[in-house]
Amino acid sequence: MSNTSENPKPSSSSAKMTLKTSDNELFEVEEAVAMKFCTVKQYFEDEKDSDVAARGSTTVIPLPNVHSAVLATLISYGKKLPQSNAVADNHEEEETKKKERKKYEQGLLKNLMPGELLDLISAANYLDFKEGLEFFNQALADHIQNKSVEYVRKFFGIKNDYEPHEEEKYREEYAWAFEGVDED
Amino acid sequence: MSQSKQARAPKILRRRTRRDDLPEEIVLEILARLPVKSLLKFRCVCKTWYSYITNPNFISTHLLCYNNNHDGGYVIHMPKATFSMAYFHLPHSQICTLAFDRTFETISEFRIPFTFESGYPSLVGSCNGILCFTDFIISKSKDVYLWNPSIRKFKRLPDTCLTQLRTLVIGFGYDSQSNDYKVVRISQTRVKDVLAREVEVYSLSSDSWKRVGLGVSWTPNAFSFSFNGILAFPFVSGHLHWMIEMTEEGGGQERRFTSMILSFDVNSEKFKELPLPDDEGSFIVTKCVTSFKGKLALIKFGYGVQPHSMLCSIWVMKEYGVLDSWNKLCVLPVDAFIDFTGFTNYGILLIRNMPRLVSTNCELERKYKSVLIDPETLNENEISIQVNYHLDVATYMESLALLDGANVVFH
Repeated sequence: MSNTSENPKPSSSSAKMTLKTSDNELFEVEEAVAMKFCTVKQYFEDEKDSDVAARGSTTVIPLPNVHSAVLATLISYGKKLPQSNAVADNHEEEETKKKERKKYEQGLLKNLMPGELLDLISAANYLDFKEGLEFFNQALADHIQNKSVEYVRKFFGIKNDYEPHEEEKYREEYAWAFEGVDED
Repeated sequence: MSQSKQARAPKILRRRTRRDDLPEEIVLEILARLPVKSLLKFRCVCKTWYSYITNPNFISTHLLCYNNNHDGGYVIHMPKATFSMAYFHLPHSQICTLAFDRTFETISEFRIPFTFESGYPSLVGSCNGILCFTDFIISKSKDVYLWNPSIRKFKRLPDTCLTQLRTLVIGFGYDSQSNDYKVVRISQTRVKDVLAREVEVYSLSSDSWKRVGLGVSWTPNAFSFSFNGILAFPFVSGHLHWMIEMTEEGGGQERRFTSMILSFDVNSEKFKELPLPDDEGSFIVTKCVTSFKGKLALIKFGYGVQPHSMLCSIWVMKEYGVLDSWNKLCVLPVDAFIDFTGFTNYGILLIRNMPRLVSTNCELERKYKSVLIDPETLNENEISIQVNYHLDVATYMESLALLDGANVVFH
């Protein structure tokens, strides 16, 4: 069942593109937003070069590494970013938009499971979505900042390759850094 | 059609990623956003993460990434040792305060983890989160310490390699080309009529001092370095700077007074002169070099047209080394006897005004007013803390520098 995005605003570019996810869902996205995914942009530019007739909405761009739930979030985030072709706002409008964006970001993060962050980061990396990658990397950093070493290993699926006495040495060296750890 | 494109478009073609497939550059980007406390902890996660975190390139990346990530930065400040403090044997608190650099609101306090013989620490400079201290009373001790408060590690430098150390001038800088921290010391001794100047440079990577030549060729008989209370050894564009006042004994009773800026390139370890901007002819009482938003700055105090109006003019060297690029940023009228502390990273100047006698509960109290002035807009903001003494101020950064190394001590 295809999943279409909202109708585009009349002022921005009305060209749309269709992205197909790994679970075969179709997303119709405005060109302006899709272009923030540099992988898609590259694909689109290649497409433009070869066949002028088959543009935008008639081509379906496959994203075999991205699941629909993940793409939905990334598209939603991409839409909230300042659009590159938007009319320049005055200072007040800019400040209001900034506040709105902050509120949206906080809401977004609240509803995310930590595990989803990894999927979002992977997808943003695959799509070469710079702003999304920065945002979710920061969110993940904030999340693990005060967590224990064991939590981090489990979270990233990392195996502990230290001997117990080696690890003990490092822990003793900076005992103060291990204080104040969040509960898992 | 879309099938044929599939091979070209995706850069990283792989199956739906599992957690441990997160590419190295992504892990590094996430780590670079963590505070040092977390990084010290996560060295234990596995050996790969240990090597990521201790890698010098990562340490530099993290320094920039983490410290630029926040709205506003931090400063560390402490009471500045002064001659009157020493004369009256007033104790130095040995406490450093961490504060927000926009408002100077206190975040936390901690003790300086080492002591000097005189009991008076003197802040030499700060680079990339490392602070350099020496004894304020040079004759008591020539100890120099490097301290990274964010990882709670400090190091005492080895003893001097010079035969004598007198009239010391010192500076602390970072050599970005070789990723090394250096301390420079200039010693000037006068034996009868013979002036001897010696210079030594300490490099953290070699953990040793070595002699270097002064090299600057000029022949005045004497020069003195002027200290005016502001952190007078600014590190700008890879160079350390000191203001030098020279007297040259000419024929007869003549004495020529000239000033210049002595600069030291931390990479080539060579000295040079830097030109001062042309004097406008107003009566200059004193001047000193400092840094403003990463550029070399000159602060001159002098009298204006009216005899009792003291003016402070701030000059900035827009293009390093170019005489013509000295630009007068602003002129501030000042009350006499104010204390300029210095510029924060964002170019805001901290000034402590002359104490005013204020009547509170029928008693006269001395109240100090400290303000932050933006020289570009001349906006003033009073800071919340009561500061009853002169301050040494340094930028605080979270940094992993000084993590490993010989003779580094934890506290």
